[in-house]
Amino acid sequence: MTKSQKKHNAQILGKGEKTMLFVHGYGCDQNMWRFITPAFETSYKIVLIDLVGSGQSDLNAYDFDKYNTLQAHADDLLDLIKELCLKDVVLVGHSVSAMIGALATIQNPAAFDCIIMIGPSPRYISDHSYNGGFSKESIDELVEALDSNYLGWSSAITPVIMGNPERPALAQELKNSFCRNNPEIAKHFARVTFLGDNRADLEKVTVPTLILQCSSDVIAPLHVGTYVQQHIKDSQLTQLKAKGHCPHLSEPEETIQSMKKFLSAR
Amino acid sequence: MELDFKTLYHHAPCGYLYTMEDGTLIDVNDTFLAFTGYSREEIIENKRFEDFLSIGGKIYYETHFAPLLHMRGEVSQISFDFIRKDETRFPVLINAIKQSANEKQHNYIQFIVLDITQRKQYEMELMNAKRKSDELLTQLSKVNAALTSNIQVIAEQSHQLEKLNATKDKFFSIVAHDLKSPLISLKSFSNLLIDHFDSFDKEDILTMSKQLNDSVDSTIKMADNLITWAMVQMGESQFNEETIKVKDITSNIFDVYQKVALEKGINVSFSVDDSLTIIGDKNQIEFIIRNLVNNAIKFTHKNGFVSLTAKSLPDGLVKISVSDSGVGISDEIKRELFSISKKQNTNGTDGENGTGLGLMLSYEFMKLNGGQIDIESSLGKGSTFHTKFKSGH
Repeated sequence: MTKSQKKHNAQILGKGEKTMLFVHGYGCDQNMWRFITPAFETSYKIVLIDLVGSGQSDLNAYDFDKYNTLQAHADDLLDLIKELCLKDVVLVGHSVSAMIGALATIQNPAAFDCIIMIGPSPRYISDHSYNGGFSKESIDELVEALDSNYLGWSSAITPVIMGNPERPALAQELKNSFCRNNPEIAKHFARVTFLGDNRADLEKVTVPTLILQCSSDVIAPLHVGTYVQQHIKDSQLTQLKAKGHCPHLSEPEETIQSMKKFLSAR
Repeated sequence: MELDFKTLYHHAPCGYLYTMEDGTLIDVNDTFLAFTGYSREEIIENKRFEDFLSIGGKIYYETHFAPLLHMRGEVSQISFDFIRKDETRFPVLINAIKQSANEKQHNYIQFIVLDITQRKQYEMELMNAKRKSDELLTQLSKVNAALTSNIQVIAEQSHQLEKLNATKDKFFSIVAHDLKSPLISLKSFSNLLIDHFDSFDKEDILTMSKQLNDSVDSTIKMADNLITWAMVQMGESQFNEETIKVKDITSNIFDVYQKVALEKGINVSFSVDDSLTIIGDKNQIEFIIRNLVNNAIKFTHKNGFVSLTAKSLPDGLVKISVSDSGVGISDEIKRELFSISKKQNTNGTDGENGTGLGLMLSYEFMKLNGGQIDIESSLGKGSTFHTKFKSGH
């Protein structure tokens, strides 16, 4: 197992020449792809990861200064791709990881075949000329919501897990619950995600891009999806019937069909 | 009593919501309507669960709650702020479960909503108290760290004081003993002269006066050394760094000690290249070398030899070595040779006495000049003192 593989709790399944690298969004972990991956396992090598700081990644690797920008996560993806010698990667990124993926493809376009963005948004905070859907205050509200919903991270268990990433009993306990994230990291990553601005990066994306746009998505509304489509040269937008921000969970079949349609046309 | 499920449902002490999988409301109970101030028509099929949440709550719902509900089929004890029709807010606790229906029907989600206004207030107070205690804890650990470092400083100071105290004790004992004994012998000489003046002839008086003079000279020398050493200890010694020709120092010393050695029957040879230079304080370095040559002659028997060599080393240093074929130094004495606490005062092979301060002072001067001093010695065969100074090139 390579260093990056361990760091990201990377799981490799399926068989195929090409690789699909699935990167979960804010607040979750690789478990969120469970309804999607079976449809691609026969024709693709599937790589599932947890971003550093999420899921069962190495929490000790989460340096609050280093992960102050999305670029650090993008660098992690490129390290992993290099270490696993992956080629022609189809990157599937949900939410913030659509932007993390975009940054990775900008840095090394040759490693990627294409990128599928699910619910992308380059900028969540509105200003006079841009409607991102949120104000700075709403991000403070989110942090409050995180504060009052530790989801099993009582302060008694946190330091134990933080200090013992290798303890199998604890890892087993973690396995039994999905998307349980360290509250301090969750709050930090929330700010990095929702206060960031990657609008200027969209034009630098050169790989073919599919944008999967949900209906009534408060986090990434249609006009934001359209903005992304207009600013990435080689991109197309598919409007899904699925409501909310996680079509791969709420409407997996529709999501799979849209992805397959895009991939088979390539 | 007959159970009326309709009453149980509508007047339950919690809100009930039924939604489609995407959150669109199918039905709610009367309690929920009373909580939020909406009429049934306003919200059924028009609103989704997340529409009742604050913006931050919506993000939390989409990024945490919904994924968990889809993956696990149920979520419990999540706290949100609900927004009423009049836009006021109240805190709620939500449990949700996904119900799988038969093939014809869609899955639906069942929520219960508990108003926790009072409990939330209590929770806020607790969280504020926790925040405060965390802050205090941080402050406390800072104060603790500062205290620990203070204790270290105090321990170091105490160690320094102990050393200074030992130095001071030694200083007093030298003054008391070593300086007093020559004065007592001077006093007895002068008493002798006064009491028996008539019984001495001129020749005797001259001899005694010469002895008196020698004794005064050595006492002055000792006092000088003591004062110099005390100044070094107090950090008040003068230090003039300059580039010095080694030969300038050694030829002075050679002129003085060649005679002394000749009288004792010892062969002295100095071998120093004209061009060698070193950097340091001239007086101090001359003191060091003179002291080494003086000791070498003092501890070497008749027919022995004393030699001084100087050479330049590749690492930017100049080595000046003084060798003798004298009595040598035991390992035990060697270890304590430069320390004031074990001040050595050994008479020479011809009974020459010394102040016992020479080597100690030499060692202090070596430190001031950034030099090093090493000893090679074996008992009965002789000693070599190697000194190293910064080269002037």
